Amino acid sequence: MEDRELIEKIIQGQEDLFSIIIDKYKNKVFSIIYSFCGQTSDCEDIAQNVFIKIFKALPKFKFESEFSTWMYRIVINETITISKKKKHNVVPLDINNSEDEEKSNLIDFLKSNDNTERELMQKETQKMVQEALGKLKDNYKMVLTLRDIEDYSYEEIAKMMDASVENVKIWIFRARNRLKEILTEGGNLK
Amino acid sequence: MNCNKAQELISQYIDNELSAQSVSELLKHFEECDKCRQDYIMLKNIKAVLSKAPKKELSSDFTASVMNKIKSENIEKDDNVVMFGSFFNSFKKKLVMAAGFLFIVASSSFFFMHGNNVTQQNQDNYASTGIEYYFGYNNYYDRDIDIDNDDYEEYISMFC
Repeated sequence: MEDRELIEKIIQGQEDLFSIIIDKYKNKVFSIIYSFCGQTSDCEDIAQNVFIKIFKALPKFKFESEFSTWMYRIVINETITISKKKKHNVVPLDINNSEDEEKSNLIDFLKSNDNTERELMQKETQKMVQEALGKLKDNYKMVLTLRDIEDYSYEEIAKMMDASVENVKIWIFRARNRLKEILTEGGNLK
Repeated sequence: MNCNKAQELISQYIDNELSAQSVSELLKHFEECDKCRQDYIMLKNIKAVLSKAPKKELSSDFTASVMNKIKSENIEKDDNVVMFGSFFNSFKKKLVMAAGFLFIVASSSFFFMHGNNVTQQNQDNYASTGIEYYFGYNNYYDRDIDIDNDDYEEYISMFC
């Protein structure tokens, strides 16, 4: 059954069919929330609340866009809102106080043109990059989450964030440069 | 190509979103500019790290949990006890207001019926309002109230 048909039936009262929508989108929705909010234990609670919000908002869906586009806008808005309330920026970034050796290793790693997959997945590197990501403005953090972690295209991100593709390109460009500054100079710039 | 233009294109190059011609121009710039080439390598590495960020699986009962919450919220919305309670509270308020209104009307009527019987002899002793008279605030009788006769006549004439 197509999304449109499902949504019409749910709005008409067949609420149990919403479980099909949840099953279809839950992994992608949870993945966005988990990547954006960081590795916190209550990401699943946030995902539950987001789906409840979507369910409650269904009567407002006008069938003028794809259901998934409309749904992801709610996911993104809710994720940012809840994240702000819960101050989810994982552990406060403290790259300035990181051991000199760690900082030096990170910069060497970032400058190297032949890093192995194992090095990319190294726990300490992951932690420092994730912490730096947590210091970005919400819209920058969200575009990088969607592009680099979740692998959505520029067009998909533009639809999800209700923005133009050109704006998404600019946000990604600025977000990456800011992230580089934080990682290489300890986040003291700007 | 200058460095500003190159910096703008690096991000799109990393995402494979550049045209062949722009890629060619950018690579040529990298041969001439070590800083832009270094920036490209760093941004590419940051993207690579993010793409390998750890993932987490949802618990198997996620869908059931959400559906249970939705159903329980609907029960609260349609909960007759709450609905009836709200109605009853509202009804009680209206009942009290109606009783108060009737009381004022009845007391005014009483005053109309008996106001003319108030003798001049008692004027100085009666309270300054009909309501006080009706309630029998006898202490007023004993008080030395200096009521101007013209004021009293004007007050009585409002009701008669």
